[in-house]
Amino acid sequence: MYILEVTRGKKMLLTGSILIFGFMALAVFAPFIAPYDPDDVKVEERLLPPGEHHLMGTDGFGRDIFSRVVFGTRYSLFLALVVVSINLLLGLMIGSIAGYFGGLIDELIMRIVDILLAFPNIILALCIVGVLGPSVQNLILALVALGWVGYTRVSRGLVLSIKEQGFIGAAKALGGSNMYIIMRHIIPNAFPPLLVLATLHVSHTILSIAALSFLGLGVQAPTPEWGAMLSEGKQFIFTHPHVMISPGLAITLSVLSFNLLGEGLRDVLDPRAREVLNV
Amino acid sequence: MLLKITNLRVYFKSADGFVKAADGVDLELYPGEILGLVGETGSGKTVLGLAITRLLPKTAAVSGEVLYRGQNLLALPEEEMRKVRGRQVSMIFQNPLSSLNPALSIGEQIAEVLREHQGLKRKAAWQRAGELLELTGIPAKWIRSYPHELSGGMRQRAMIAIGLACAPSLLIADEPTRGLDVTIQVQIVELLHAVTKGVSPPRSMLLITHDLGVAAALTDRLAVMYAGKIVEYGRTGEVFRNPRHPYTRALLDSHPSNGLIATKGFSPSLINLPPGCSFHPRCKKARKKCAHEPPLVQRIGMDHGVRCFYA
Amino acid sequence: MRRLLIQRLVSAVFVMLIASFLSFLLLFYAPGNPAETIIRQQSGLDPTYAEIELFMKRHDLNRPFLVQCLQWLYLLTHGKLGVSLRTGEPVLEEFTARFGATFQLAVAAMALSVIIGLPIGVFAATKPNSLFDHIIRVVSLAGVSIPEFWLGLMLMLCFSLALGWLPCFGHGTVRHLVLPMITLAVGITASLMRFVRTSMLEVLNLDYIKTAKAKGLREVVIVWKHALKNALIPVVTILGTQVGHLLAGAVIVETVFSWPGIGKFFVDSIYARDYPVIQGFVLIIAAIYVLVNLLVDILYVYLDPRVRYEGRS
Repeated sequence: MYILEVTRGKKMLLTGSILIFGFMALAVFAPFIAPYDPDDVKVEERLLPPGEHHLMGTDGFGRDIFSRVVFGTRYSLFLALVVVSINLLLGLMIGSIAGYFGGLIDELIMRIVDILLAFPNIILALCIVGVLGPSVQNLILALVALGWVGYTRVSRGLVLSIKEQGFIGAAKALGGSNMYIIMRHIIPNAFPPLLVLATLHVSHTILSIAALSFLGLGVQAPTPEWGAMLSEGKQFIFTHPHVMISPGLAITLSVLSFNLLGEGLRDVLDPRAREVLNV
Repeated sequence: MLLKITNLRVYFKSADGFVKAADGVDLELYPGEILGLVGETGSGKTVLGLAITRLLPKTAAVSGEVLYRGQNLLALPEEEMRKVRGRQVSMIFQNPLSSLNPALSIGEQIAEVLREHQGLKRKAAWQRAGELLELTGIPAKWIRSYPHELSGGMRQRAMIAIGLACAPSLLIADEPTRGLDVTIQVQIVELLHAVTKGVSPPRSMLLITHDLGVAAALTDRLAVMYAGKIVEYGRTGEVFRNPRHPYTRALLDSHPSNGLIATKGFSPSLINLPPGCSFHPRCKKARKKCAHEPPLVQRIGMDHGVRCFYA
Repeated sequence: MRRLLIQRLVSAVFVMLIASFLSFLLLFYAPGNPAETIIRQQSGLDPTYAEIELFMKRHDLNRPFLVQCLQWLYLLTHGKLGVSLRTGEPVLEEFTARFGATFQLAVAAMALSVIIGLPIGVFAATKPNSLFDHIIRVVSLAGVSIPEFWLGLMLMLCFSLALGWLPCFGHGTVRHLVLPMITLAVGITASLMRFVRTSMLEVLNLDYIKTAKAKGLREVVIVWKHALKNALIPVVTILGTQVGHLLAGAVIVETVFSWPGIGKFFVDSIYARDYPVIQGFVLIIAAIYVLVNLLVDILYVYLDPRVRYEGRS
């Protein structure tokens, strides 16, 4: 059974990686792949259905949707990776401090974490963006405001178990400073499990960014971000539905590929699955 | 004859080859008799018990014959087999804490068997469940308690009450005393004796245990298992007085009352069994022949057999 | 058990206090003048300096931070959440008027998720690695990957525009409820299926399931009584966190379908910078979240006799 889980995990891992690799390639080589300038407004070509010249048709301003979807990869992927990286690093730092020093600092940090964890994060993100005004910086801020909490909790747990191992004591005995031990020993050891967590969070983040942009509270309209494209295209849904289909599919597929990767990693790594073998 | 097992083989497929948990086992159990199946952990005793009731995972390949009252259980359709379980053949597992459902009261866990097999209504089933608890030494007022609220001994009593619910003619008890305090062990042994020998007509039991003391106290006959095979069987008193297989002797010698003499080596992996007699690498009496030729069972007197060339 | 509940209640109050303070802090230091935005919205003209001054005075917006904060807390203790800058109605009344619609949507979606997700998760676990299990796995992964707002629009396109079966906007009849409910339910159903499957798989391998089989019980009884009763315990805790998902989803789904609930009202208030409403919403959402999690704790205690027992002693 465990072997089955692992093979299946590997399959998902592979599919997810290939898809992500594809999206990465789209983002990097966007100018070479996209047939048109994504911002090129041509009023006479507006709302063309998918066809020979425009693979996915054109939008309300006559821009080529395929080119916009390709360039959109840059925004969605890049923003999600930035948000997740900040969360990961922030959570790792704070969690390491809490776990390593323990005592009052730990108590204080974990209290805050517990309170923040008790709050639905997209609502707070909506509030922050809504109040501070929609912009990319505020979008990142909003998604970081609560995003670090999960990583803090997990890192703290990891650090607590790493701390018990011999080499930390040895490093201390050799006169390593606290900062040195955290940076040199604790963080490198806590990093791999957190990376799995981060992969799964990328998909959540892509969805949150798209949702906020769709509501007009994230990336703003002329930018070819998928959520923003859908927000712009909403008015044409009943007359020219093709405007809505491609960006939505792009979001779904990118989220799915990160979910496949994370899911696959979990299948391959999860030690609990091993127990199934012991009849 | 109540139960006759012939040439039973249970193989598990694993990444390194077949695990031969039972490799040609023959056993007989007469009505009203208690048969002890003894051997070290990993000798295949538990697998044998599960094979009789067909509770092994689907990955197990089982062959041979298990005749219960003349009916081959291994060939029975699943639905028929289900009606045998709990009604005619009951199992009592080791570690009652994990073997009892933590989310259901013990009363419910007894009553549901009665509802299933005897068609009792809710009230009648609970009534009977209370009586069964009393019978196994648990005051009936505990009927609504959950497994974690009971002590280890009480849990095992509840397990026995579940096993007895439909008055089966065969009990299979798998290490019923493992993990209990010595004083509690004695009580459980007494209870098991009372519910088998103490009823009329006496009930049969297959007692799977590694504890020779428990086996000596309860069983009429004994079968010693080593590496998936029965290496010696006979009347309990006879086997204890006159053990003929070197492994049986070693097992008896390792008992604290006999000075705790350890056998050298470890029990073999069931994947790579040594050729010839499985016990020969650890056997003091082994000769050349033992390493090549698997010994067959030799009868050495009334109802006493041993799987050894030099017994 | 009572200790657990008291502990939970205290932390709930604490969460609410922090939430209200944070929302207040955020809004106080927010850029842009709400008075300006609101007056412009109401009259369509750029307000004069005097008009702004008057508006701020009327709504106590020009007092110092601490005074405004204490005022807000004082009103809170009297059950007042202030007055909407947009409509002039008390915030609490605005919410109670709309809460029914959101509650209807959320409960319907949750019910649908449980009705579909639970049995499918259980079936998938009883036949692990079967074709059915694989299909369910792919479907559920897709389910958690689809953005709700897009799914809602696609459903509208399909069932309202193309097939003409269901209305796409509005509220009132059951027919109006169908599309928003499905949209909201898809993600929750998908994750519920996965949790139930994992949890069931774990339980089905435990010793007491072997006991249940040895008792000659029917497979139906073993799976749906012995296994599910234990497998549900972790699932219930997950449901608590799903409520956050549900609330967030409601905001988006209500906006897409013009569903007249608190989610849509909240988004409209954000657009309009209606500060008292935003503050009130944050507080109410926190309250709902805390309350639901409290209920989940109680349900957990009810489901798991082990916790019940420890609480009693």
